[in-house]
Amino acid sequence: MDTTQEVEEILHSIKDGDELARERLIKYYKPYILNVAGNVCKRYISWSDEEASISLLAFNKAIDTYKDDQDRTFTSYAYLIIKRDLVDFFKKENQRHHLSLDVEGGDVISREEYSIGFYEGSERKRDLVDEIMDLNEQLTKYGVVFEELEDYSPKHKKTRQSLLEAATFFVQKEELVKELFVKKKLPISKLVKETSYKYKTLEKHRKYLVTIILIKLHPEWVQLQGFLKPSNEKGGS
Amino acid sequence: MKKEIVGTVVKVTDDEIVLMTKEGTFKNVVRPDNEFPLIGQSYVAYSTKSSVSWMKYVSVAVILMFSIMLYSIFSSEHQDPAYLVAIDVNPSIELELNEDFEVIRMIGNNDEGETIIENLSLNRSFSEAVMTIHEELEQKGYIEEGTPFTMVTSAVSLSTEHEANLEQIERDLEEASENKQVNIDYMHGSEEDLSESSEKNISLNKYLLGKRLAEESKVNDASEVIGESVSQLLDKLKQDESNPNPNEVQSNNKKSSQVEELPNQENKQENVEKPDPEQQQDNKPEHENRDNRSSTNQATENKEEDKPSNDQNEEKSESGNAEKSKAEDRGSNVSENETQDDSHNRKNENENDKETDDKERQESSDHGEEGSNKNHEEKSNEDAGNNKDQSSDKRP
Repeated sequence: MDTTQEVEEILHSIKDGDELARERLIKYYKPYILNVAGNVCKRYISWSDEEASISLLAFNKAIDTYKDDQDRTFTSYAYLIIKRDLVDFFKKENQRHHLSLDVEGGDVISREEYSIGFYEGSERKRDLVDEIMDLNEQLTKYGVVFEELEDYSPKHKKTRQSLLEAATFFVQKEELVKELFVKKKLPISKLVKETSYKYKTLEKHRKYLVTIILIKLHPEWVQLQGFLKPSNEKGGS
Repeated sequence: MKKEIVGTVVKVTDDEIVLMTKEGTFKNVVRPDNEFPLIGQSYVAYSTKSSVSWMKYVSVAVILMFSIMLYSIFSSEHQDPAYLVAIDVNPSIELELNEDFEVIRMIGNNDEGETIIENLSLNRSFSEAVMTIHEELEQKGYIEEGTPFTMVTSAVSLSTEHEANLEQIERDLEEASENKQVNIDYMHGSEEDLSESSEKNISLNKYLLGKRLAEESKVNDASEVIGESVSQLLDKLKQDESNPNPNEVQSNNKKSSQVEELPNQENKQENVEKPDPEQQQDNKPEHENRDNRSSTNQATENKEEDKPSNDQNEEKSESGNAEKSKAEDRGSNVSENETQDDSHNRKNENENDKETDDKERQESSDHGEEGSNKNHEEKSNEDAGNNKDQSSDKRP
């Protein structure tokens, strides 16, 4: 599920009746579904909330109704569907914490369509949300969550620079990458042996290093590569 | 001081937004209640965390400053005093010093003292404080420049371990008083003196002066000096020290001195001249004999034992009889004086006669006590005998 094309292929197979692929796709987008629900409701939504179920159902509906000839990505389409369903739900339930929108659902969608189209920008071939979902999925395998990355992030430019260099060196070494994939653990001691980096520094930023190595190993995450552009290094490898 | 953080939202949790900054690092920022950004959106946050850590430093700094202030307050005002120095010119001041002879507390014992310490500052060395006191004394007109004055000073060590350092205070005092027309009367006191003086509610200097007077038997007890000023006490002490000759003292005191005081004073003069332990012993019975006949008898027996001096006794008693003819009750004073002056000069006798004449007039109504006066006479004869012994010893 690394590229938009792959997502579209999966969507096709789902439409052809591959329920396993549907399950996988839903599982993959779960953080996004919750995020959209929270965004629409302007509060944090957990899986025990009714809004989460409605969002999940709306997302499921989006899988079925998404047409790949549309001008928007699947995620932005899913966002529109989830939002419309939630607004309908609020209207029906007449709950307090609904959006302060007096307009009809159709109007909301047209407005959102406009804003999202604007947000996407014409040149963006890939959806950043998909890349972040990808990264999130990958990181989970290595026992890393986004919240804890702040503590592992370098505070100084020099440290960040040397960590980027270490990651660049790492992805070029096949055995190191293999070991990372197999053991799901960063072989820091081997990296230290082959480079001049201090064990202590690498250990301190271990989870951050895993993150940037994973980003570097996925050159198709074009937008995420943009975040790893050092002054003297090009994104990707 | 809020710091702006720009980043792409990668995750939104209940209370946090995880941002990936354009440098590729991650930041967690607090999620405002009414905001719930979408993943992938660009988001601008104002770092509350950095301001929290900034607050942390500030609070640490404030606590540090506060504790330093507290420490300085405690170290200056609540330091244990090691010495107490009391200074009396007329302004009366007490200074408490720490182990390093720095002034940590000042007390004005009277209004004048209060005005002096107004301009004194704490935490300065003792000698500096004394120099300032000198300046203040001159400025406030308590002393005139170039006019000699006396500074009565006593130092007390407030803990036994510092007792040896009291000399240092005296040295400091003298050093600070150089080039000043000051006569320093310096005394050491003990902690008992201090507690005793505060018990009796008199100043330390007065108490110590009183103690000195008591030692020289000018007053019966150190506490008798309550009503008198330090300078009066000092005068009393000086009279004695500067005029060791009894004749001069007598002539000085001739008109002013009271009859009752005379014997005492003479005894003291004798003490100065002849520190004979035997005589001192004899002086004691004299006080007692005024009312006690039995001890007088004993004294008479003693007299008989002093046979070698008999002829002088006779000479003495002759003159004593001559006096008696004028007034029987003149008693010991006259005969005693005679004996004393026997070896010195006769001139004094005339003066004594004048005195006794005065006395006569005063005591003419007291004839009822003739008996006891006679006892005095006997006693004085005996005393005279003793004196004779000494004077005969002096002869070649």
